[in-house]
Amino acid sequence: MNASVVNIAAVSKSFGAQPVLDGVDWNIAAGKVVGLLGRNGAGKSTLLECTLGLREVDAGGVTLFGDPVARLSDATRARIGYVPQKPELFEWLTPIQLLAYFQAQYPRWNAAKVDGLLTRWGFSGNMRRKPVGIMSVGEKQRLSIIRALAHDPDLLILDEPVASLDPAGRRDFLRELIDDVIERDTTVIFSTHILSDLERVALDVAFLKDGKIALQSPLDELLESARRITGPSAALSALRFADEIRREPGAAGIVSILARPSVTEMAALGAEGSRLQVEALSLEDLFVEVTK
Amino acid sequence: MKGYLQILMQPVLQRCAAGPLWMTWLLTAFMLVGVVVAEVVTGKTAIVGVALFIPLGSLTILWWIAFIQSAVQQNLPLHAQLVPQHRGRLMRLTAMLWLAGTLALGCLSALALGHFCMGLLASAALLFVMAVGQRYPKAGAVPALLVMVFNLLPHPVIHPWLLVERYGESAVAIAGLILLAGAGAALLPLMYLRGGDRHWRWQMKFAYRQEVLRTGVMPESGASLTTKWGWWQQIAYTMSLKRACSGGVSSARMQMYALGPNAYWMRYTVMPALLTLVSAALSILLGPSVFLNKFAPLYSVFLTMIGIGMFVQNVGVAIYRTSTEQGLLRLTPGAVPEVIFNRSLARALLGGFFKLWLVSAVSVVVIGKIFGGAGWIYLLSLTALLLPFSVLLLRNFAAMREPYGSSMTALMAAGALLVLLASSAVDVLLWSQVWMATGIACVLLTALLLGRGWRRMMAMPAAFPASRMA
Repeated sequence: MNASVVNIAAVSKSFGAQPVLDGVDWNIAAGKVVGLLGRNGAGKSTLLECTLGLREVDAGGVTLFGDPVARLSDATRARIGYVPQKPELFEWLTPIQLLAYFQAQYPRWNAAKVDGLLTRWGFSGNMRRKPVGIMSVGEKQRLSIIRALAHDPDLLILDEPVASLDPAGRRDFLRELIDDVIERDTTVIFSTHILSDLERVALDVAFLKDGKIALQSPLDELLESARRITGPSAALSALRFADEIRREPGAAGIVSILARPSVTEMAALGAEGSRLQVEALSLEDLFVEVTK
Repeated sequence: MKGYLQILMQPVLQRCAAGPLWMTWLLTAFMLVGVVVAEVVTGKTAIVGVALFIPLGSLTILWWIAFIQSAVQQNLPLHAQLVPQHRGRLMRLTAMLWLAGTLALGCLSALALGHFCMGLLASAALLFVMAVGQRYPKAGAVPALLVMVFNLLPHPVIHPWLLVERYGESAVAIAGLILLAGAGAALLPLMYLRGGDRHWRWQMKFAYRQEVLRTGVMPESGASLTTKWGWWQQIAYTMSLKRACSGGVSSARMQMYALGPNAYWMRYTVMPALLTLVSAALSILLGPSVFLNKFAPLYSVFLTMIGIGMFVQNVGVAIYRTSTEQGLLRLTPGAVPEVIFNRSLARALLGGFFKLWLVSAVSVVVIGKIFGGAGWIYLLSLTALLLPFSVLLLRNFAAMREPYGSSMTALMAAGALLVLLASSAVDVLLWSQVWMATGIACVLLTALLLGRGWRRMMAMPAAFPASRMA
């Protein structure tokens, strides 16, 4: 069992009268690659900011590598990489100045990797001397990712990192993430709405709903086991699943259940015959169902 | 006709959307009450004219500016290029409203001051400069420059009053109006561009200025980053940053670089340094001048006051705008510990403020010495009036909803102007000890305010990332 890198215990956060996080409990073991999913405004960015100590929590606590976020040691800070959702960073500096600025602050800095990424991701020649402020959003985002990867972090937190990248940029980023970051056993928390990217990268997914982690599971297991069972309420009312995610009554006495039936439960479903419709779900279907 | 009406409606709709038209109603009420009171109490046409002139003139100018701002905004590259007759309508309406406004102000000045022709010319010129100023903001400085030139030239060949004396008001006014109309006809197509790269660039700059006016927050201008002037302005910052990146700098100082060049105090020393150099050059080139002796030191005080005001405002804006960067820095090893964060930030901000004040004060005193028109105690005391503003740098940045807007600097500028005008009127009557006492009082007040502000800030949550608790 890997040690817990991120430990979030009963974290609550509101903005004025609007609650955003409501007692979130979340543990992420070392080497895990977790995709954080949730609808717009569900609180994904707030959760990530609270995780990093960039926002105070109203209740609960967060530790990173065992350090409380309010008192992170320098050694712990050196192990964290973060790509914020808003890539507007140091608009007055050029990429070279920006990276030199951060290089001065990290004990470990992979200059060869930075140089390689700069070249591969289109920051060669004059681009290296172009102020960040006049770059496109995608260029800023690429630079922001390079900055976050430069010190080879052990924990990488990415808040919608590919939202403003073109398909080529997204492909480059995912390749880098898979070939270098994940290969090094880096723990990654990856918030995104682009589910196809998540399927390529994430080992686990977590759904944030109503201020809580509504569901967390290894992605493959989830896709393999999650089923939507639809049928008349008379047939389904007696059925109870150990891992039932949601049960929703529909029109004309039809009930829809989202669950992860066990082998025995699947057999019981089979016995019900043609009265029930059992469907496997894609990640997109799951997203819609879980966050409904 | 509908096209014209729609264009004319836009400034009204824009103003209504921004809030109630309280200034218009206030001026209208002021005009009505003023006219009634003037008529009942004095019964003199000139007094009634003044009562009409001030509010109605202000209303005319207010709505002229609103129209021009709206019109250039309506002339988006897309509209200018693709909407039939749109640009032409905008140009024709501008010309017609300029004539109407000129006529209205001319008649009012005839009523109030008894000079129709010169009133007409002055109004035409004023509205002209205001309109051109929307397209070329630097044109707004032309009237001030003309005043300076006419006052500095020992033997002016062309002076407005000499021309009036020689040719009469009507002739000068007609000639002036013809000149302005010609210039207007030439400038109208430049005010309302028709698509193309130049139009896009201008529209970006215009949108930037509008954003500054609307929110009081200066967004980072992409354009300024590529200009030579922009490069020069941040050269001190860039060099200092380069030194810091090569090592040996405390994390508190590194944190200050994350606020960008706008919050770097040395950037604002360019103005006092330039003023001192220009003053020295002018005194050598022009020799003794009554105008310069009296006004140059006060003008330099005014400009340095604005510079310090801008520093205070821009620090707030920079802290507000760079919260993402602050978050990243908080995650770096060696980041300033939370318990001492506010202390280190307050020290850095106040250090910048006082260094800038010192440079400004030295510059003002040197300029005073160069021209010899004002005593150093008087000038130093005037600059000391700025010291209490340092307390504006000590605030609860973590809960900051918005930075101080440009209205704060405008307020400081207006205050500075009033203080300077008042002081230039009374300085001869007062002893230097009184000015010294004023300066000392300012220092004591500053110490008192800073003491309170410091204690409050130390009890607040860590300032960065800013606005996270707002």
